[in-house]
Amino acid sequence: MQVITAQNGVSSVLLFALFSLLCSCATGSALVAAMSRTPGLRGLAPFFHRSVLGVMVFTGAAALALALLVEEPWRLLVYNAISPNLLSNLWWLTTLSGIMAGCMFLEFAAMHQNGGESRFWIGFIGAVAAMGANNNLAALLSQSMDPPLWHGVQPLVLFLASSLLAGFAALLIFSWAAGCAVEGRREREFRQAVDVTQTVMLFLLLVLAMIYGVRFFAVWGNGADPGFRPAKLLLTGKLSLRFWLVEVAAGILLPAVLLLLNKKARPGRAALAGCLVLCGLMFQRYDMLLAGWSVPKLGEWQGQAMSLLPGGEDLLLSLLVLAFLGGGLWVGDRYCRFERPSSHPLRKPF
Amino acid sequence: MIVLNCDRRRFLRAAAGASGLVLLAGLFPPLAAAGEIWGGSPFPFDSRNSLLREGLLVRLGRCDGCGRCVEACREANTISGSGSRIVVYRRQDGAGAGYLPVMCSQCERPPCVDVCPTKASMRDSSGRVVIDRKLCIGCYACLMACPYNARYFNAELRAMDACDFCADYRKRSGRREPACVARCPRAALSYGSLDDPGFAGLVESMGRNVLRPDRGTDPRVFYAPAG
Repeated sequence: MQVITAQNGVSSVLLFALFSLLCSCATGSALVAAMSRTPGLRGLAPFFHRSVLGVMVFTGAAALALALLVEEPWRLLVYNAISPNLLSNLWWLTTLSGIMAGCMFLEFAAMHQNGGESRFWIGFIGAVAAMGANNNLAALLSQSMDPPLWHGVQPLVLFLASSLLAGFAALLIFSWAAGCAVEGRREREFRQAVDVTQTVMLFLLLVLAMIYGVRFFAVWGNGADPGFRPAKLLLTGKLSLRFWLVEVAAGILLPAVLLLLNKKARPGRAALAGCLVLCGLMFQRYDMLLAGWSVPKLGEWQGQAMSLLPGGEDLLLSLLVLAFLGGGLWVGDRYCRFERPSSHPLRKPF
Repeated sequence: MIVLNCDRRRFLRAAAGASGLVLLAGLFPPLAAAGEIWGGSPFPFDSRNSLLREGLLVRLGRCDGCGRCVEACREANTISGSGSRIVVYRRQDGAGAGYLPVMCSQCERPPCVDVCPTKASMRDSSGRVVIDRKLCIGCYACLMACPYNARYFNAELRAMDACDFCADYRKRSGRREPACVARCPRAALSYGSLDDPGFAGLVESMGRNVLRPDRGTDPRVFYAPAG
């Protein structure tokens, strides 16, 4: 008798979650790059160069993760161009991410040639493409949950807040590490940038906590909501320990406390908070995918075959992507020698 | 213009208040009921607008989970690795024995076609949902979008695969029915044209039940509940 009770699913959940986080980091960095050129946010100016480099390297690492996720990466490149499906979130995500990285590459090239005014518009187009890519990422991930916990406008709000948070956190860590590794000194502007970043991150953490609180409260009060089963899995089920401990305590509460206490804007402490935030966001995606796939689509007819831990291959491939990311950021920073705030475009007339 | 040189506490308070109002509106959507697994299809299948004019009826009361349909499917479509175009699920809640054969529902509104980035998942001229293996990149987007979990990755073909009512096999062998229908020893599976009054009447008399009618995909695989 050949009766199958397992549920079909994607085996590389960790790599998928990492891909999603890297896309968010790229989006967040592109938005930070655009924000740092806004007159009211001059305080972020020291992050400008690294955010432009960050977008390219994060997008490159996300592309590597996607290439490892899909079976035929070369076909993805070719057929995305010659046989596009304008209804597909994945098509829009890859295309808009490509546009975003391309814009940042132009920005990067212009940065070294003192391009002037035109760069602002390149950055603006890149930021718009980043927002579009982020919306499609949100749709892709929420679609993978069936029945969905996040639907309609909810994933867009959640992912916008998460991506900005990821971008700021990644840039804090990157800048802190580069400051130590390359020159061993931190300038006054950098402290100011950290201070501004801390304030924005605190606000975003508050928004994220509110999104979680309001959504879970709404689901919990209505057992007929399609998202009730995945929400139950996260709040009181087998994923609850990780949700409360890693996502909420380590990913939201602890960084918020660290940032609040860091009144002197110490970069190391801020970078530690950034690490915790990224860790929380990584597990947010991992648990989102697991919760979605662990709830059977066909009710009591299907078994729950998802493992809570990643497989060996999944883990190794994720480490490979992280190594690529680290190497890319290190080489880029060494090559470009960014510790020159005087070269920031805001210091020159448009 | 955003001014960040004001007091941090005041900024956070003002920003949280403003965004809270926006969030509250977005996070309380209209209450949607959890979808039922079974239900009558809301779409009249005698509609002339539908592309695919064939369907499959599964009589659950006759299925004993023998798995012959799975074997026949694998032979007819030369599937040698793991995976299958048909999956027979066993009821998990202990409410008696029950089996549920699930294959691609050949939806009239297929979500798998919408999500495919390279248009590998598409509808052919007869309206069947098929997969162009030369275009498939194996991104699993269709598998995630399918409400019936009816797709799998064929490791030999390096592409996604799903039931297409044995289109190639029937063309090759000249048979009228899909292999699973012919092999089922208890005649739990019936295949026919929706333009055939006999088959259409049979489906209608059995309640025109489909899996997950809340998804609005208008499937062409119908289920007659046991008992």
